[in-house]
Amino acid sequence: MNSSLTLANFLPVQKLNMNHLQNTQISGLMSSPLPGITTPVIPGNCYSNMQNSESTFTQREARANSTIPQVIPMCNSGSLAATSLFSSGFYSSGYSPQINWPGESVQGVLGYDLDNINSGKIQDIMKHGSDAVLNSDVAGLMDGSWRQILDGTAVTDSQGKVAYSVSEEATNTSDQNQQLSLCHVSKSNSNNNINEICCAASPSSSSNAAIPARPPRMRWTQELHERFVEAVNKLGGSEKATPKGVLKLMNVDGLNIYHVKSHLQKYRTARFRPELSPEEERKSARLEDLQSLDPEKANDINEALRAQMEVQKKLHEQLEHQRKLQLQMEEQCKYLQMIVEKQQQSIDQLKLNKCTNIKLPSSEKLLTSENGCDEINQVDASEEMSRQIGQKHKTSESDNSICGAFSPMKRARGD
Amino acid sequence: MKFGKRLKKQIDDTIPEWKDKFLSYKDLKKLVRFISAAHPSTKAEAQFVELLNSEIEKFNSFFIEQEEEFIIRQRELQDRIEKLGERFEPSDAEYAAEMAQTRKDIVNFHGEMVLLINYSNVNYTGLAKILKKYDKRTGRLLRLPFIEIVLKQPFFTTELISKLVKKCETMMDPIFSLASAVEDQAETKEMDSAAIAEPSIFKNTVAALVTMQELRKGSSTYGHFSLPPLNLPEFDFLQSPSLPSPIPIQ
Repeated sequence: MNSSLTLANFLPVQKLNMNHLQNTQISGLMSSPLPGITTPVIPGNCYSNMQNSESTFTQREARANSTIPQVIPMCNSGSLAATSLFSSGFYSSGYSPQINWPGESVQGVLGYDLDNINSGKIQDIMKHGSDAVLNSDVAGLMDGSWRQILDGTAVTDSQGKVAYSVSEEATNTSDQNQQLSLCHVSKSNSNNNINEICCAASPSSSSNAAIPARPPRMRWTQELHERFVEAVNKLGGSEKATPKGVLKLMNVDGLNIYHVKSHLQKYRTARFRPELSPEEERKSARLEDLQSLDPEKANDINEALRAQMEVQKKLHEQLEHQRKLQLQMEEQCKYLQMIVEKQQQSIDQLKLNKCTNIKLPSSEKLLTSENGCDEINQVDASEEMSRQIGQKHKTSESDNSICGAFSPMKRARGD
Repeated sequence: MKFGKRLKKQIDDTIPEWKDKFLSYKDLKKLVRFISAAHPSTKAEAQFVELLNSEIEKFNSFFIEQEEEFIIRQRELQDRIEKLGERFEPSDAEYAAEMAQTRKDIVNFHGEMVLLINYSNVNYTGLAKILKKYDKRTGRLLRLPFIEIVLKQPFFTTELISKLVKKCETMMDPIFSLASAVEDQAETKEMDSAAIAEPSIFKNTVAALVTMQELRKGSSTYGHFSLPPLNLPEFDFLQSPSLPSPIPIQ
């Protein structure tokens, strides 16, 4: 490996892509610039291992120096995963979180004190990964009972389901947030008038975002295409129809002439000049062969086609299945993340209420695995902490001893 | 490296126009290795994320373009099939040729769409792996939030294409059943599928299936969160190291 390889080597790729993006903005295939979108709200703990002021400085420095938008996730420890930014119609692509480092320190943003007691251990675990889990004494508690917990709560927020099934006819609104309301163009709407392609509204909480959102891109659906074809036919066919005419006839909010123009072009190509598509070129060369075939050879061809179909069908089936599994896995990870957050919160709460007689929340079942989600490691850490606190709390009654409970904690941190 | 090799094989076998649309897995892996483990800087992370973003952008653009084309082509095919009966008499030689061509077109169209779904899946898998490597390397927690975003990206939301695929399959039944009467009498023999089916579609499909099987067979990082093994007993021929283009029909 080239020892002088630097990050700069990768930057040209970045710049290239940025240019590409800028060009596509101009090309007109995109709609006119819309208000900034985004701020996926990201589950917390993204930067819990970050040093405070140093990072803030680096952020600002990086932002100032580079023309490339900085993309740092905005951590919001209280909320669940990212909103459903996407559905048919317009969407904002990519992961374009906001910078949100106003004057305040990381502490303020993340909502809890980074100097808290468990940060040391968590840092260790996050540095060394799941090995730390295996080595710790909590690893042995891994058992199959986590399945029961997970089965009962497949989706912790209805948002998740909505986000995954894009082609749902219903309007995809995200109630969890503030930011977006994307509509789906649907013919099933009994409303004869205008089916809208809505655009995403700008997020309220990140109006100070420094990143320009990428303009939403048009995504065609079967219903939209039906409308398109109807309009084209009314206008006398694909050769006679003009983009302007089609656009008017289609009467779909949010659709602009560039969308129609490019779609019309594709349509014409598909209809009258199929041989221009590279795929078709190769096929047409064999048409002569096909035409002169005797029945027996024709059967052979059919057999081959059937076989090809079988393989294709199988692949499709497996892909669907795999996708389901992948979605499920991420759901589980999300759930575990939530548990970790809850643990953090309850530890926080304990800290704040250290002078009041507060009962410790019962420990959740430990959820670990050899190479599961990263956040599981944090569950262990906070489990450990809360158990230690609990033990000390039970054995003491006076304020002194409760406060004294934290000294063993501090000693533990030094491990 | 297993995934990397498999990905490369798929790219090699894929439809030529698609070759540069896949994830730059190797490059991203290099980048992750390059990022310092001891002092993961937020600047490095920002740049890493930016790269990932541009990859995603690449997927999305390509995917949406293809999706749009498939929507158009599907409808055209449908029209063509409907009109087939109207245009010719079944006894026409031209009808037979047209029918044969249509069958081929449908099968290849079906194949292309499935390959697009595979494209989506392969890139997703690659992203997930890269993110996992990044987290492992830097001790950060970038994977989970980032993958949440990826899940909602257009290139991963393949429901529409799946729908089109299923529709294609139903469209195919009448087309192929018409041929069955003649087929019953024919002998089956090996054929050169390269002259019949679109080679790159077929090759890519097979490569995809093999990849899936391989990746899920079990690895050093196999655990509770890995996908279960993939069993395709009826496709035993996929196991052979060098896959010939014709399939021996049993």
